[in-house]
Amino acid sequence: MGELVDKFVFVRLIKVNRLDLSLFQFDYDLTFAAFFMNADKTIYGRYGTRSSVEDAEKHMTTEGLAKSMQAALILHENYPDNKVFLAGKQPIETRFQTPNDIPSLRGKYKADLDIDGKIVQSCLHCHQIMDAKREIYRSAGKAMPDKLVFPLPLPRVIGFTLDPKTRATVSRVAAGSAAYVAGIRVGDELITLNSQAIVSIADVQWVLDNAPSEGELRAMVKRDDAFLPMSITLEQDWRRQTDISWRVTTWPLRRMGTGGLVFEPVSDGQRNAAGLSDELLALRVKYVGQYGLHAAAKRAGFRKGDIVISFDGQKDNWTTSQLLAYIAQRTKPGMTIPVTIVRNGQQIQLKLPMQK
Amino acid sequence: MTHRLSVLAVLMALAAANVVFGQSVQQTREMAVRNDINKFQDDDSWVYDDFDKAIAVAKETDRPLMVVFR
Repeated sequence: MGELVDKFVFVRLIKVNRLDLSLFQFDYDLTFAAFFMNADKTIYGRYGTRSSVEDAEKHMTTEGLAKSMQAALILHENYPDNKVFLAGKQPIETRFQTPNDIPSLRGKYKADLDIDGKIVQSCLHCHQIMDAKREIYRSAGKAMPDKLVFPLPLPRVIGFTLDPKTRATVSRVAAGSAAYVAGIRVGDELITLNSQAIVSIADVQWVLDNAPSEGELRAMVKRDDAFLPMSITLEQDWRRQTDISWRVTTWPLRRMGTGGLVFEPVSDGQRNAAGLSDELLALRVKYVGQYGLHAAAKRAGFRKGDIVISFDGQKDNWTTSQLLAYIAQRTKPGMTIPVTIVRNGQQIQLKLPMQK
Repeated sequence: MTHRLSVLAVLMALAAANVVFGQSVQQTREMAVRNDINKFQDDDSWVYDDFDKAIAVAKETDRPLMVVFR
């Protein structure tokens, strides 16, 4: 990476309080995010991907970052002749110029950090941007759009995984997936996706985030010395397979609809032991919130270890993410949702309040 | 060479620092934020929290920007 260092201007931005949201649009649940861009603010690419709480940097390596930087440099050297491959990477129109313009954040944070005093409390965290956007819908009693519930999907949602030590080399393809059907194979280098030059996993996520709920994605992959065009079919509701359960931004969703409960999946073996179908809902309570609005489930009688088998009459075999999506899109504050749990082999009916 | 080593060290430290930032202990976060400020503010290989200045340097030197958040 050493030789790359002299070729960039490195800038560290810390004041999210007045972040330009019309320019810096990225995954607000990350621990590390970077933009490669021209001095005219044209974005060459994004870097930074996360998919779990425990292993936040699994998708980020020094080698991968160096290769992404190399790719960004090539885009810089060929700019502006390559503008057509950058057009889709630019920010999309936003209602809010800064976090301070979002209603629930307005006036809460000063433009500057309180460096000599309570610095942490004076600093808006990136994830609060997503939280605040969701609150607009929740407080109005409106369903949150899919894009807001399932942001920046990872490529595995459509069936492939990229090696984090590379720019964008495919390391896994799920048999039968959309990527597999399109012809993508392990070892392929992803060059463009929907005509966007790909410099990182985050770039693929950006394409997916702006992809339709149903349709085709055009890909160009390099295999050996050949460039192969491919078409990936996005089946209806493909985005809804995204796992959001690791995201910090699910914390307010849990307040809104689980009353502070955190769930974990129940394995097939555990289901058998409990006499539960492996095709129906079964989510075990891993944690019960103890304070304030996050203790609503505790007050309603839920306990750690309870297994939820019906939520508002729904018994589909949901993941935590799908349950949270139901809450975000099908419930409103003030509603009371009937929930059936299994505790010590007995079915128990409880009532869970939906909250702001 | 000093410039290179400095940027490299900071980029690598960023990843390691993320683990600290993932923790919810307020004191740890406070220390991490202050350490971050000290590290970057005294490091002339980085433009610290001044996007306009970074844009100007990028224009003047015809280099791309790498803008880092975490």
